[in-house]
Amino acid sequence: MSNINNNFSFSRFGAYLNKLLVERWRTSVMRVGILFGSMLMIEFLVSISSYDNHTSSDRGFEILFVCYAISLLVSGSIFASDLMSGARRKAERISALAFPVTPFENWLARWVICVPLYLVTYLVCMYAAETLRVVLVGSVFPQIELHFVPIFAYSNFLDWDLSPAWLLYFWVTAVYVVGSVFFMRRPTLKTTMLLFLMFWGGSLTLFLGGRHLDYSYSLLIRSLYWFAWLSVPFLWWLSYLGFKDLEVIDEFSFKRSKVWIVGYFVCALVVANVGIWGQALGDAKFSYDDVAEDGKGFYLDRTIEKRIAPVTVIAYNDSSNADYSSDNNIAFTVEVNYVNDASQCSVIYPDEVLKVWQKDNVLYYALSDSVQTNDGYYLNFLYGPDGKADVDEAVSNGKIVYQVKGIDGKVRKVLDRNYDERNKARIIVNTLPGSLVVNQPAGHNVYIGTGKTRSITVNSKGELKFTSAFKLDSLVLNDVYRVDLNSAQINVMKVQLGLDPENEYAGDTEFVPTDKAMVNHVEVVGSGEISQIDDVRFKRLVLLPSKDGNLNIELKNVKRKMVVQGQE
Amino acid sequence: MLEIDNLTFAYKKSGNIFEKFSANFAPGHIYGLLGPNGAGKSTLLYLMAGLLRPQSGLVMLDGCDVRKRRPETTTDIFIVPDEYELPRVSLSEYIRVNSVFYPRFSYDDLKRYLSVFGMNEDVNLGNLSLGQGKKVYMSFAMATHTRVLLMDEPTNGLDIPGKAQFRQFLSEGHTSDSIFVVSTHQVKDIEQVLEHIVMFDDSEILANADIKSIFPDGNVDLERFFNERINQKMAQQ
Repeated sequence: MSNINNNFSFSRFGAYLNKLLVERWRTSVMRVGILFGSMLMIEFLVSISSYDNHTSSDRGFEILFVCYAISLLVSGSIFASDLMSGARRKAERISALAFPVTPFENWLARWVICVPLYLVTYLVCMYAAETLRVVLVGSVFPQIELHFVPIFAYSNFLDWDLSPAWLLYFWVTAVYVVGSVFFMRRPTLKTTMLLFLMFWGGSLTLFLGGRHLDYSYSLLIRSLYWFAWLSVPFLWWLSYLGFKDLEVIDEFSFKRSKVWIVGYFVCALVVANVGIWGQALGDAKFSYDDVAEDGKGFYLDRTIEKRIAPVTVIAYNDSSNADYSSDNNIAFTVEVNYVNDASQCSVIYPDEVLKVWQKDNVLYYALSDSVQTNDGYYLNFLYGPDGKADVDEAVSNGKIVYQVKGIDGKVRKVLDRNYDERNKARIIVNTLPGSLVVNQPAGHNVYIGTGKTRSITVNSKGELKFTSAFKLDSLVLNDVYRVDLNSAQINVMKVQLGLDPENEYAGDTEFVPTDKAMVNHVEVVGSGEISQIDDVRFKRLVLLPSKDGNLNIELKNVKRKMVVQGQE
Repeated sequence: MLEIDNLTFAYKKSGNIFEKFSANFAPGHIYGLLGPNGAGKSTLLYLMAGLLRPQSGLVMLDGCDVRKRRPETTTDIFIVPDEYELPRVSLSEYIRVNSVFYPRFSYDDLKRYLSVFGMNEDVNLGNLSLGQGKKVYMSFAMATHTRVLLMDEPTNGLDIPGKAQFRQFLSEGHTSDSIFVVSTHQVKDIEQVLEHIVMFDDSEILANADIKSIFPDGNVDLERFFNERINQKMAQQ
């Protein structure tokens, strides 16, 4: 007796696995036959309904993918429930439990058959059936480019991330593996009922508490994703624990493994509910310690607020020559809002990406040191507080949520309703009305919010946009590429066109059509092209072309008296 | 030595079956477990095989707790239950995949035990009747030469010649270091081969003695003895 290995023995495990396979071979062969036959039937039905002489693309491919995915989930769950095959009834269980292998070897051999071996068998059958389809359909319709159903994420002809699907498969089958040990009678039915209860419970919770969730940013979704992945081996372990506790007479007692199993499902439900309700109630605070996509990620929407003195000049000041705008499809935007009190003056900016400093009445901004020291090729700008914002959706909605770590140190969420591709990185300056000069390079923009001030001068090859109603005495635009006056009321607007010798179009200025803005006096100076100025309501337009170039302007729809004055 | 030490066990519905029950089973004997219905004979066999967890107390084989179901004990204990299921494979295939787990398994002995029952190894387990299956299963169990062989109602399903064959079968397989424990109601079937009986009811051992000491004249009548002890117990109550 002393020579017997009481720990894991590979040879004993192999022998036991062999025993189970040999003793079940008739059933197994029959099941595989049914499985393969079903697959062939599906392939046949899809093929005759999807392919003809007029088709050049693989129209059956996606239907087959869905069919195989669903049948894998369903059949995988049924097979996972079969873990206790040959040990379910008392007559079977006596010899199964008393067999001279360790409980772990016993469980592992069963798990190998029901989980990985079944998966491999399924995939082999699937690709065998797929090969038949590709070969036969390809020979009949050679013009069709046929594909095999993929099993890995993001294949070159299916732009779907399959990892959530695999997660669903492994988690659900792991639940069935636990169910087979927990429910000795009708484990498939009872586990399915448990999953239905969880599904409807979760759906109800999401319906009641999750309506206010912004899923694209949701930490909850990612937390649950990893919780579910970690749950898979944990559920397998729970199944082993339950197996080890099995006795010949099955009497339910809430002890040992049963406590763990029930505890897991209660815990999963609590985790989901706490996350959903916590966020839904709006009390959830985003943390700056959120998981980054990778170590090189820079969060564009994680901003901090700093107190500043009132400023009259905002200038980009960077020695870096890196062209981040084009390399990373990122635009920097200065948004200016006017406040009534100097104590309210502040600047809000993404400190991971930018640095900001004040010298006298000038506010400088530049790329942060950490961005500059990185190789621009590897920069990974992330959107949304959790780095998971769907930028395309944000662009189409014009809204994005970002977070501000305020002067008081508290983090709050802010909804930006002016989001688009041109203002991904924001520097929000709250200052006093008066004179303001903004100096920027190409690719940087200026947004002016609500208020009333004297004069604004913008020296930029980017965009100027008034985001709401605004009253202004004087506006000077030096080489600004695009101007959206929105509903601003401006006394004098001077447009300086500057012809860039390297790019003859760089000196053009384009106005966004608006019938709300009103300008008393417009003065256009220099050489270049000014477009759509006629879509802005103005009282007087003065053109002052430079001597060494042409000034092109197209005026349509002139309905009132207009004086065009030549240069003296 | 198989020791039962202060064993307490209860089913939820029926209450305590054993309370601080102790008994020892020494090698070289064929034990008969006797008791009225519900006394817990099968339960005691399950406890001895580590298939049930006692509320307290232990069952130990040479000092090892059998409930842990470690190979060091399961390799030395074989239980032949009243109900069992055999896989639908040939006996030779069954032997091939199962015998490797029992170091002392003897194929020749298996053939010998089968021949006692008038059978041979050229059978498919899926085609056997209840009695034939039992004979094959018991033959295999005996051929493993585990030190403890537990049999629950082994003569159930056996025909009249089969019961006689079973007695021969027990005698053939028994060795000086093996412990055979046979639980049965049909004491007449096997009383001739039993060497020692443990009779119990309500956790109380009513008899734990060698057959020779109970029946010194050699006229073994366990049924009469059983009834006397039960009546005696009832009278005491």
